[in-house]
Amino acid sequence: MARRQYDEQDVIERLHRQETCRAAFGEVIDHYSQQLYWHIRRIVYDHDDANDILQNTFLKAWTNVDNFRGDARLSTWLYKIAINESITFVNKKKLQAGISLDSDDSFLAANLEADQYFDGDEAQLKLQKAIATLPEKQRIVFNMRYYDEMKYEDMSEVLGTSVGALKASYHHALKKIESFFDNND
Amino acid sequence: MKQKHDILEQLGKDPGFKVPQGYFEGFTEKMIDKLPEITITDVEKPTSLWVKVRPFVYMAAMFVGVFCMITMFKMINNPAADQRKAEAEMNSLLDKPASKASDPSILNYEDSVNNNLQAPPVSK
Repeated sequence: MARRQYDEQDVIERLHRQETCRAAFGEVIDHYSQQLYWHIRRIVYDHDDANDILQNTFLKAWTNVDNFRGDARLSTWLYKIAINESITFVNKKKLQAGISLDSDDSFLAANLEADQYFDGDEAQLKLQKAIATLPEKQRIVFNMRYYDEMKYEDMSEVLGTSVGALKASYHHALKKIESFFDNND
Repeated sequence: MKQKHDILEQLGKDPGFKVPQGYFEGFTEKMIDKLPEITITDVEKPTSLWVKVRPFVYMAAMFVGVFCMITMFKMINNPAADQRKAEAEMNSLLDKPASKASDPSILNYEDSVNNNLQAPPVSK
């Protein structure tokens, strides 16, 4: 079956019609699944966890699609859901491990070298461990800016934080990564 | 700071993660199968006054724009008409009788000039 070209406005219109909403949502999944997956994966590190969260993200979006009136962009809406789902998951995992919610997420990257779906070299592993020491929001900001190369304005819409604060957060993240590399040479 | 940029530049954007082979292929179909049935409520979005009048405002603005363009075009392409108009105005001002002048002081001044121009009495 030939895939139709993705047209966001058209997709949003079809999402709001009973007879076309399922097919339109299929196009949304097709268009956003990879970028959302990688975004989630960089937060939770583990493939199986990322896969579960990605499915939950789409399920949540689907059950709330009626409330999405197209005022924001679909990507913004989906990113918000994905980030909330990821943070909820990480917090749940912290509670299970008896770790304080205020502590950083470095426990997530602790066994990264043993992960069968991680094939990075030593430097990549070190960078992931450095990123995991960042506070949760700073880590998300760093990932969105560095890996997704997202504009600060778009990040501001997703995270509900001013552009200035996001720039400062990214700058602090870079500083911390630098000092992690200095201290772990 | 320089060292940090060097590290990030060396590493590039690859975080070192991978996915099981063929993970993304067929993900959409599998995901669609998991979606429950939902009912879409057909709620009409309330239309604001601005949205209703906007086409008429745009149309009016367009007509004003076209009118201004035509007027400017005429002025630019027909300077002789302007000159003729200016000459006609000038002529009408020159042809205007003095008695119709609105400023009475002008009339008084003209009378005094006429009196002074009369021939002086001849001395014997």
